[in-house]
Amino acid sequence: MLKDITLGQYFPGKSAVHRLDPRVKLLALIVYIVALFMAGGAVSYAIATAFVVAAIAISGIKPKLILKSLKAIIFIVLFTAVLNMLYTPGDVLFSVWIIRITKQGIYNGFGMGLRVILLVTASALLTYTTSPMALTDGLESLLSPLKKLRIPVHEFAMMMTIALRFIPTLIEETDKIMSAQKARGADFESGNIIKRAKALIPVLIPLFVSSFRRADELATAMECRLYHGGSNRTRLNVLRYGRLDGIGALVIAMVCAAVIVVSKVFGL
Amino acid sequence: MTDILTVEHLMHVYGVGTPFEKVAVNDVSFSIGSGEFVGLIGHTGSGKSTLIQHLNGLLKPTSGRILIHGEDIHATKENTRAARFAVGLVFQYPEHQLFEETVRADIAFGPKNMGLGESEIERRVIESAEIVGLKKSDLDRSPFELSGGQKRRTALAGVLAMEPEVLVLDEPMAGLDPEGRRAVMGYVKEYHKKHGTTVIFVTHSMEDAAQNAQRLIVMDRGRVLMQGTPEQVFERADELRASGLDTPQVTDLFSALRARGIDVPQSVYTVEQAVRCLRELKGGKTNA
Repeated sequence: MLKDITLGQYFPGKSAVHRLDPRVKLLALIVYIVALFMAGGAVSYAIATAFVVAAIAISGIKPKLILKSLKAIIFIVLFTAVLNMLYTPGDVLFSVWIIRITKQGIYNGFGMGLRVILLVTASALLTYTTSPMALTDGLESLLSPLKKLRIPVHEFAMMMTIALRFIPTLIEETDKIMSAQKARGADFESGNIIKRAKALIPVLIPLFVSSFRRADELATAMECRLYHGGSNRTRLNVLRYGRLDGIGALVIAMVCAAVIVVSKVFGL
Repeated sequence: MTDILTVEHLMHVYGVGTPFEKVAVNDVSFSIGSGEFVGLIGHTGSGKSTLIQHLNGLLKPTSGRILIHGEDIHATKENTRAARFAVGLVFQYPEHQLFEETVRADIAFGPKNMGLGESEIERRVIESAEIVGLKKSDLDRSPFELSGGQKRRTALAGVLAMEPEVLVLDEPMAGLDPEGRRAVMGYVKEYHKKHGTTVIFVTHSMEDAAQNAQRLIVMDRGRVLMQGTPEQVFERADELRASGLDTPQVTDLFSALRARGIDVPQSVYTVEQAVRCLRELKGGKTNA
């Protein structure tokens, strides 16, 4: 049940997408999202879609898994699409009561829905193909200029690493405690919202208790291994840009440039 | 002896359709007689924990059936709910599931969910607390200020208070000192005697299995490797070792004696049997 959550999960692999430097992937995602919101015409959307589809194909991640992560946001997609459809002024196709459907509205609705889908798919692909460790390393490296402003980047990255590391552990723990309480007759599935929320108390309290215990143990273990913050620490795996990263960056830059040029210059 | 619990061709697959797909339990069948005291042994990851979570309907089989008194527990919703209460499951490290403000309230959680009356709940709380050796004064303390051993006993009492027909324990003695281990096993045995409850316990300790179980079921890589009396099982010591398990130390000792040409039986698995055997052997020699 809870184990079926795949969003934010990492699926190990050896594809080109997996091997890409996390910094390149993070920057690529940001640039891609910007390009996505500058896209306007059918051709530019097509290029953006083709890029993500190609990336999924190269990564070897099963399309079924991507669809699964989209299932969680289906409501948001529909909501965005319908709102855009209703509130865009333009040539009225037909109207019922106060609802007026315009040609531009339908076009906009589809466009926004597609944008959200592509955005989530691209982000999901990033987490599916990048280990949490690599992700935080990349983030720390990208944010390291902020260290000059005395922002504790390393500490933030460490916190993020730990948080990400413990998501599966906590999910497993929640599953276990829920099973144990179910074995004592707890019922999480029936009743109204208030009753269901109350039924979660027997799960949340043990979960909090064990989280604090884990945090304590982790702190002790880290201190035993002489961990002391960010200054002067060296890494086991230093991030280095390779040839693949150059090619990857070039491809991504070209695709995003193409999307922007096609929509802004040619209006397609 | 009538069968209370039957498992038919049970199969369970985790993560169907993901790269993490794994067959945890594969075509497992056995039945448990009413009032039996059964030990379930197997190496880590052999599917024991997955198997026992099927017995009260927490997990749904990928294929196969679980029958209680001959009725499929997944046939109707009522059957599943009834199975929850008929089979009491004590998880590994059950003390992690304590949550109430007082020990009394925590033990009462199960019986309350069963919809019992207040006086009946009170009777069961007091009775089960007594069985696991908790003092009356402990009942109004917070479970979080108890010692590790007391927490374990509180959690055990929480399941005993539901008075299940079948009691399933997943490594009830893990992480306890020898005295705590003996005590916990003692409570379970006493409860078994008093209520005639059927008991299934998972263990890694061959000594515990040999000393307590009337019958053993051995799991290996999701399948039942063998089942029978401790005598029958420990006779096949080589197969046990091949699947990453052990035999009781006494059995090892007697194997070593046999290897040196001393005529002792193969299937000695408790210290008491060993003492008897050695006495006989010694008696025989002095008479000759």
